[in-house]
Amino acid sequence: MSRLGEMQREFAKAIFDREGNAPDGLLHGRVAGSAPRKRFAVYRNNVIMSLTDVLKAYFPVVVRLVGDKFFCAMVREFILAHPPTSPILSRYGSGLADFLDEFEPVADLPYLSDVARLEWCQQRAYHAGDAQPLAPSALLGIPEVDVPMLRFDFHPSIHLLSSRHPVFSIWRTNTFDTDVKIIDGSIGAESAIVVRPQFDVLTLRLPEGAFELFETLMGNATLLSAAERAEERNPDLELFPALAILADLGALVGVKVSEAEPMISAQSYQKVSHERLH
Amino acid sequence: MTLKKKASLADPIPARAGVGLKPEHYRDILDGRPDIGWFEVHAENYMEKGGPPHHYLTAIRERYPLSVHGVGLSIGAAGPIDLVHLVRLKRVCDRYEPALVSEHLAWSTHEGTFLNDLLPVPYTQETLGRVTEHIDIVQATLKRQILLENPSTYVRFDDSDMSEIEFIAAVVRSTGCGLLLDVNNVFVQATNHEFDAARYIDDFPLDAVQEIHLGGHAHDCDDDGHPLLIDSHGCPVADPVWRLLERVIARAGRRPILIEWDNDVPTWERLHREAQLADALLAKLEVCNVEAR
Repeated sequence: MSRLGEMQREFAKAIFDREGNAPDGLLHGRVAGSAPRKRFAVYRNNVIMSLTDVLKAYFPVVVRLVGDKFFCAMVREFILAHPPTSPILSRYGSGLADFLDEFEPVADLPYLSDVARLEWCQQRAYHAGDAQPLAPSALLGIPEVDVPMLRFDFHPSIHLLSSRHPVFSIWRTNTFDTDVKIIDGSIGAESAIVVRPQFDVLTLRLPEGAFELFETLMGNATLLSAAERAEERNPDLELFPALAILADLGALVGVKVSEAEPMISAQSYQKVSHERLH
Repeated sequence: MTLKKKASLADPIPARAGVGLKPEHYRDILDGRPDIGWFEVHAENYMEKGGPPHHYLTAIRERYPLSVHGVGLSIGAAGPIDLVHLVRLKRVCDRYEPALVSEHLAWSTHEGTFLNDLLPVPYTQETLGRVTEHIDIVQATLKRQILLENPSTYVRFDDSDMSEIEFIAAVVRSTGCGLLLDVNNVFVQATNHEFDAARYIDDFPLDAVQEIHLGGHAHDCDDDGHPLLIDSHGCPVADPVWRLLERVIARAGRRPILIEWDNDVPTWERLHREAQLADALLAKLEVCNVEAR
């Protein structure tokens, strides 16, 4: 390795050095031979503090749940273990949720990592590509016979999250309520949809089974196959109110009809086509 | 219906004050249409596919000249230029047609890790070779000249065998790049490394300077209790930095001046006032010049 490369390797290593030592034999302070320790520490502080501020901005509810001081100490460990790999900082933090799953000091907050996942979905939705949402009325008037074979194009900003914890309720009260509500553990699992149709990132709780419905549709499946998968999760899911959530949020950008396929049972076809799109 | 006048590439950055564009001020600027010369953005904040930042910058670009300031190319790195990132920078330039594009004499990426700070380089022949090679690649890819900014540093390298100004002048000769003179960085370094800031200005290749940066700094001290200034961009421009700016203008003439205020971002009014101070200083120097003739 070149002399410059060796120097930068030592420098980078020292930035992430827990002991806080400046690299040996490379640097000096004001005059030759003077100690560079505090001067070098400026670089380390700049790196750690700037990345901490980035993560604070992306994960405000996680900050609120653990407190500012704890958050800073916690993400310091994250930054040292997983420094950024891209100069585009809006993409830094994708690994925080997984890190929290393994981070022993927050083991008594089992929902914390899913709150981080939800906030990361919001961060990605904010910067996702733009697209013109379908007018909600576009779904009205589709002939009954075509309904089971509908496929949808989704807004690039759409994200779905399914959690074993009441992640939406925790996020909502910590975001909007002056006095945070105690979230009853009995609320149980929640799933959410995040989308940014225009300027604002929208987050909504999904009825049971809608996560499976949307996730299947997002895999370019027909409404018929998606409905079958959703039904396994929740036989009582009302298909068209669930689809109306997508349309009303502006999460759909296109809809198309494909040919019926011979292996589909007539019974399941009829079941979906008898629903009405309004 | 609204009539839009798109500022074109031909619109140069005027030789007056501009400010670094912050998301906090998007609405103030679009609603108030303030009288200000130009804006500068960090390229890396506009490299995502979509979202409100692109919407606002597009609208602001239609009304004001723009400069794009990169903070992530790592021109001083020992390793190769990140071509993927350079292509992203090209996309930003193609989309927004900035009149000026600048980067730093610093490194920030090492073996795939991005350190998110502008880290110093030793001034050696080896570094000079890397920096000129990288700037050649950047200018050839962007198909335009870039400006290189002088750094603010806190440490010095045992290895350095030329002065910063000798190094910068050699880069300009070899690559034909322009320079961005950060006057706050000069003052910060002069304090940190105990040299004469005025002399640095006098020795600097001012002919190549196409843009000036001003920003605030913070105070600390080193292991020996010697004052250590930090280039924090979190407060108003300090008085001695304004005086140093006067020296630059007196020698180099009017140049576009940018106010950088990136941390503890103030209200739009406060930031605009800082830019107005720079414009007032330019006007005052103009008057002095006329009287002297």
